[in-house]
Amino acid sequence: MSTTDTDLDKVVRSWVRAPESASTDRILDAVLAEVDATPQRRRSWHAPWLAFGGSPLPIGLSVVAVLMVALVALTLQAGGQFPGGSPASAEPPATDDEGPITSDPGAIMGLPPAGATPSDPTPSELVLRFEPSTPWMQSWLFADGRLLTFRHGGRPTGAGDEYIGMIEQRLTASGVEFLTSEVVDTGLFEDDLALLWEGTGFLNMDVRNGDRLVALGWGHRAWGGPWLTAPTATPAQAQALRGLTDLLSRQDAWPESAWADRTQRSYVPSFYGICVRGVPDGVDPDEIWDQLPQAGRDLRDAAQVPAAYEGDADDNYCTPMTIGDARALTRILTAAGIERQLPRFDGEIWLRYEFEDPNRRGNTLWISFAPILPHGEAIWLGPG
Amino acid sequence: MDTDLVIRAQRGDRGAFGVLATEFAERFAVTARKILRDHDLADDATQRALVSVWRDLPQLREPERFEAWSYRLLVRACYAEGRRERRWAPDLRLLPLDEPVGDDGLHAVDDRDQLEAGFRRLSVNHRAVLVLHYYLDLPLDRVAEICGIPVGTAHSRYHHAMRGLRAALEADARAPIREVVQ
Repeated sequence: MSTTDTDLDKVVRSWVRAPESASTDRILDAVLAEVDATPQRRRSWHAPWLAFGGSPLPIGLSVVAVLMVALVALTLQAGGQFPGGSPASAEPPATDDEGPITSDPGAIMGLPPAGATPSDPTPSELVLRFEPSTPWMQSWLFADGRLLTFRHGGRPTGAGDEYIGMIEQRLTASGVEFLTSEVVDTGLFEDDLALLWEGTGFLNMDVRNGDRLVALGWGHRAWGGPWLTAPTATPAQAQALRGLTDLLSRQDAWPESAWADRTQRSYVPSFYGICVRGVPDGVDPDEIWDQLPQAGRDLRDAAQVPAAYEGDADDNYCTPMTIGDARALTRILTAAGIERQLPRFDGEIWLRYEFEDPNRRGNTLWISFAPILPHGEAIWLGPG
Repeated sequence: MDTDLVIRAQRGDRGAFGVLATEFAERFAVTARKILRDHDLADDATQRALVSVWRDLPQLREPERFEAWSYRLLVRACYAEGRRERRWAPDLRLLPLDEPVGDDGLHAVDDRDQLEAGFRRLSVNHRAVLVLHYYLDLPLDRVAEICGIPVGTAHSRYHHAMRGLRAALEADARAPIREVVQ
């Protein structure tokens, strides 16, 4: 039988929708009995970084993540053992090795040093995000004028000991308006848009247009999804997007009036997302936390985050913590014999611990510390 | 869905949760069966998901989004059950007869069996995308949200799964008519 796409769609839809019923009395009895003995987890905030749905823009990050997964697969080494038994039995004496580590050419990972002053104000609305491939960088511009930039490779001039991989600068209100209007005025941001780039680069952008963030992804067919059928950018669109890339990545082209303070300072987040993962096989986050010392689980349960910072992902892969709590967790992990990982990738900016999965041979459990940006997104340029 | 019930359950009202669980249990169980193709695993996934709903309900920020949120927990439970010990099941390849195509586009028996075999060869990740899309009638961006994956990944999983099912439907068309148990 030769099957057209329409036939196949019809056949599969009909087959999947075949009427089926299930008797659920036994299930409900078991659930209600278990619920009687199950406390609810206290409400806590989770970073929305996993909530990719509806936006094609994180594809660039995903591409990077895929590459990093491949690198991990090539470079993972034996390690992360628990000397002396389960980590859950270990006590957390004070240690202090969670600070930034640097390695050439620019891989930086770690928490800001004790006493670092967090960026203020804590929450803010994202108005523009852009991620060109050349130069590969990511910037986030907020309504209050803060401009955060992660630039691939190297420690920027002026970055001090607080540097964790991201630079903060300040724009004026007119500077914010200048950049966003330059973007919106291209006419390419009325609705989410996927465009094909007949080359190897990419450009990912979000811009606030009215009351919503509009996404544009200019990328390669290998991204899959909408890019399998996306139209190739017209010469005019390509020219406009190249112009945006040039404008947004070259601060010296911005008018002086756009700047409130162009000094490059280290961005110090108020919170870190503690993101747990099984690699390569995904593992339920609760199972990973159950492997950690009780003191670590207590920190997770007690985590407090301002309501204004609430995300919408309702996903428990990432748990936000204050820098203080995150620092305490690093000490607990270290005391439990869980190894801090050294940077493996150029541009790696997150602090990560890992140990062998006791329940899945060959699997590794990761605990990553991802800085949370003012709009509530935890930035984790690692395998997802 | 009654949002007040969700809010009461969030506050720890076990009675309200019981009403919610009763309302969703069969839908969850049928969805899980369609994904996992194993009634025991599906029932376990449903139980696991409903307990997760109770435990994590206080974390739900928008009670009106309860349904999508709860399906995310169900899909996650299906992933977990799918990783459990795989049970032996015969891989049936039933070859086509010259039957008329029905209103649904399916031949009476053989296409369904071939789809079943093709579907079982897909990973749980791919099956979940198809079931959410076709059974729950969700667009792929909503499927991506529920599965916790990028939209592009949902698209690629959908296309991969459909290629697999197409191959299952077409592969046996040229073979002799007989039943093979592998």
